[in-house]
Amino acid sequence: MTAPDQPTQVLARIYQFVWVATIVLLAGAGIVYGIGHIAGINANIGAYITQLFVQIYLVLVPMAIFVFAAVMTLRRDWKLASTGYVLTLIWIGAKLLG
Amino acid sequence: MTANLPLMFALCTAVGVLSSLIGVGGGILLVPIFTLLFKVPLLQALALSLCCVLATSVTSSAKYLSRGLVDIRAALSLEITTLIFSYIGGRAVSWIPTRVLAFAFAAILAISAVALIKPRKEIVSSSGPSKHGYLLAMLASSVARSMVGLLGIGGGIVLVPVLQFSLRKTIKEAVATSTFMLGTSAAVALIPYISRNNVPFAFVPFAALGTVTGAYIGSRLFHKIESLYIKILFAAAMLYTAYSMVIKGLSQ
Repeated sequence: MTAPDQPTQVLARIYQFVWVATIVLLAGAGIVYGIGHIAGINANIGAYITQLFVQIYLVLVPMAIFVFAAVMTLRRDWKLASTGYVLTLIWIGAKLLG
Repeated sequence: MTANLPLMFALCTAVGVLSSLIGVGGGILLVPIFTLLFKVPLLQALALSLCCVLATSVTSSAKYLSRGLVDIRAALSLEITTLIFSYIGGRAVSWIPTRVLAFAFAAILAISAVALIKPRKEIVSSSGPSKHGYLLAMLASSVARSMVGLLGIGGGIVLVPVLQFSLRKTIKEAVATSTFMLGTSAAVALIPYISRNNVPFAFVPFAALGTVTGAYIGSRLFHKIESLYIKILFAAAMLYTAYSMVIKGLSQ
């Protein structure tokens, strides 16, 4: 096992942020649903929080790859940088095409 | 909402631990759990499973990235070619009867499982791919993933052996890289389900939180568990998938 280089550390930080956001949003949605379930009311806000969780993933994960590609551009690793940009473009294409 | 949500959370936690340890998405276990046990319609179960795969991948990848276990170069390169060629390959293999495909895939998985646990010279540190390693890995993962798309299972079960044998990665590096790649694939795969409103948002917090908890436990254990046990666990998962494929082939 080798110590991660700087771009990998940047990517790891973004993933850690996404992970914390995931825990907070999922726990929030779970509590709202749970309370709504016990009280017998329709907890629509829980659905909104969950949708937010899914959307965060769909934005932050490609963004993490894009930031990584940008860092690789600064380090003049053209091959890896272009791979990152192409993957981000495929993502945007998939999102636009639905 | 009548499902037993604490039970869903507990089962997803167990799947999350296993997925994180062996680098698979867990869809092959999650989809039957959601459809058979919780009576979630198939399309919604697939979407729910993808949400869980995403959650598992991000949780484990955050840990694996910070430990330098993920080969990002290999992950990004393979991801692009796989996305493109699995679409082309998916169309090319669609003329093969599903029964033949299922049996062929089961045989490949069983042989790979035996090869994985067969005593041989251990790869203790990544020695870099051979001359045609990347090409072989791209080809193998593209063909295999176009097959698995038709058979309705995820890519982790294929990716780990491909990374290990073609790119000469240790089992832990292969598992970590596969986990990272699964998240990016699942994010793309989830988009059509969201567009068609097929995501059962009421279940997502409990199922995904379960797999997140499991993946966190798994990624902590991963560091402490011997590579041999991870290989045995992975070989068992491959044999189980092979068995599922035989059953699927027989039912066609």
